[in-house]
Amino acid sequence: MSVIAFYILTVLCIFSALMVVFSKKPVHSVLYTIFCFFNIAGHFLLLNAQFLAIVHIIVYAGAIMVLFLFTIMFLNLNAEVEPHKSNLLKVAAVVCGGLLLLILVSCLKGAENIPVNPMLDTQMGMVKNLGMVLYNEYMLPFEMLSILFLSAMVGAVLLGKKETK
Amino acid sequence: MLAEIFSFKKILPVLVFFGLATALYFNFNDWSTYHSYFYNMTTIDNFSIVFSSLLIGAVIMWLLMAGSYYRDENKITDHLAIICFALVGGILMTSYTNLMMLFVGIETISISMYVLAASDKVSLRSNEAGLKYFLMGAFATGLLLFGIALIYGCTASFDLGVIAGYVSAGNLPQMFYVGLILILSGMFFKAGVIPFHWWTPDVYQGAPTAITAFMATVVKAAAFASFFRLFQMSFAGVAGWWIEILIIVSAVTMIFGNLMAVSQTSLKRLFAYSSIAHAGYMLMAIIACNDMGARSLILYAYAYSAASIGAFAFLIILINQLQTDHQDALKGLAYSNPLLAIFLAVILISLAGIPPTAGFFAKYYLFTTLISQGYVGLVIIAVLSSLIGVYFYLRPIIFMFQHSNVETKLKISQSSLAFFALVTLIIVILGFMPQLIIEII
Repeated sequence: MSVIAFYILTVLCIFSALMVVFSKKPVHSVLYTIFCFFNIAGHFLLLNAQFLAIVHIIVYAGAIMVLFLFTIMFLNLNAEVEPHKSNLLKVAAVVCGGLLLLILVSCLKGAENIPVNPMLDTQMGMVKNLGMVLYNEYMLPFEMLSILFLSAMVGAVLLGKKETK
Repeated sequence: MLAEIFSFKKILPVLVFFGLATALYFNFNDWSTYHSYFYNMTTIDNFSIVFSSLLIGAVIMWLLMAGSYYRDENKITDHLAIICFALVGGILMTSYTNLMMLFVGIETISISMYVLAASDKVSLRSNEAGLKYFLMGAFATGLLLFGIALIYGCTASFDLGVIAGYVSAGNLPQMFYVGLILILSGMFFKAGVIPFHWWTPDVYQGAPTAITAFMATVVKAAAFASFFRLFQMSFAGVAGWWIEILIIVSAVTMIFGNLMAVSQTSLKRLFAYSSIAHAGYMLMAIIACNDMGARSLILYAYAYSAASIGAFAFLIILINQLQTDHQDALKGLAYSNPLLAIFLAVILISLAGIPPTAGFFAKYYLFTTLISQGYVGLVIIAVLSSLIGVYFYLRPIIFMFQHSNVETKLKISQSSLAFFALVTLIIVILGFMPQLIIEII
């Protein structure tokens, strides 16, 4: 059952990810991105990580995508004003991306030989366990992330403030 | 920010100054204690103490220097807040023992820098610098994070010690090497070395000069400290594999950085390319990958930071008063401002690596370290490329001693002269007594 669900989700996910790149209109791209994120959230559910799945939907599909849509509509981008890139640039980009893909695929091919850690708790992704780990072992990075966000917030205020001169 | 509400604007830099001085004092209190904190997230050892002292010291110097830059501007409060956050990120990068902490530290310092690079909102170049730095930096962060994820996939741990144990056990899967390459690419970007260096000249030139000074000292030193720590503590077991990459990258970086700097006429751009070249030299310390390498990296970082903060302090004065950073503006400086010209000459000589200055002994110690490990070819390339460096560092000095029709006359306050004197003093003291730093760990 879960294998069938996995394949359906994967096919949909790859399809929507490709459509993000290939669709002509930016708004369609964004909508396909949302679809892709929902599929990834489904993958998280299959891995027994409920908290991650919910957060993925709320933060990415909810907040960030609304921001994206807003920005794109604000900038009023469409297919006509999109600048055309030269073919040489496209070929170079495809070659570079393809090489990286080749290397990643070839290295992941051997990944099934890596022994899975038997000590791994299958209930790890539950909210309760995650909270325990987050506030015990990963306390310091968790707190330091707040400094990161504070810095980003002050930065946004600084860049958004009107120049007084 | 908080202080702005209470209109403490005047005394804020003083407050930050004393805060940093206290931090420096507590930093040295931990000397030789080797504590690890928070489930082995960070470990305070002498390497991290020396580097965090460098970072705090550089921020103190920056504060002294930037006082003149911000005198008539309102935004010093926000800037100081972000600088302090960046410093926290930098200190995390010097003392982490967990890849998670490394990532958080790098992100904190990078995001602060993206904002500060774009902080001169009226200038188009500053906006361009901020956007360019942000887009490329986000991409590099993605590479770094993917690399960390692949390493985690192999080792099931973020802890540097556990990863080192995994490496020494041998029989590594392909995935591990790809993760290593991706982490290397991310670190190369943050350190600004060759295949990932394209952002450096534009960002250094476009950003406000005070911010460029911060990037060239604090960010660079933090990036190399974390680079060294990561590769010495966890990947030393596969050194034979990544050292070849580093050798090629560092050789190309030194040659390219120095060659490109030769044709620059804008002083800010010249220092940007020279920072690429210096990044190449500092990579050599990572190649050495032992205690000698750590010592030479520390000495080099101290010498380079001191000299470049002095150089950028001069550029701030030059750009503020003449609105140009073209090298012709230096003509006749030695006759109109003799004292300033002498200080600047010492700073440039130290950057070039000519004897009685800190720069020379840093290079000398680095090269002997590498020769003792048998990397003679790399050292020959390094010496040749620093000869190119001597040419373009001495050129501004020659300009200063040329007479010209338009005599440059800079108004220098007593306090900035005292600042230059302090920088020069540090450079000369480190030049005569490099053992102060070398024998410290």
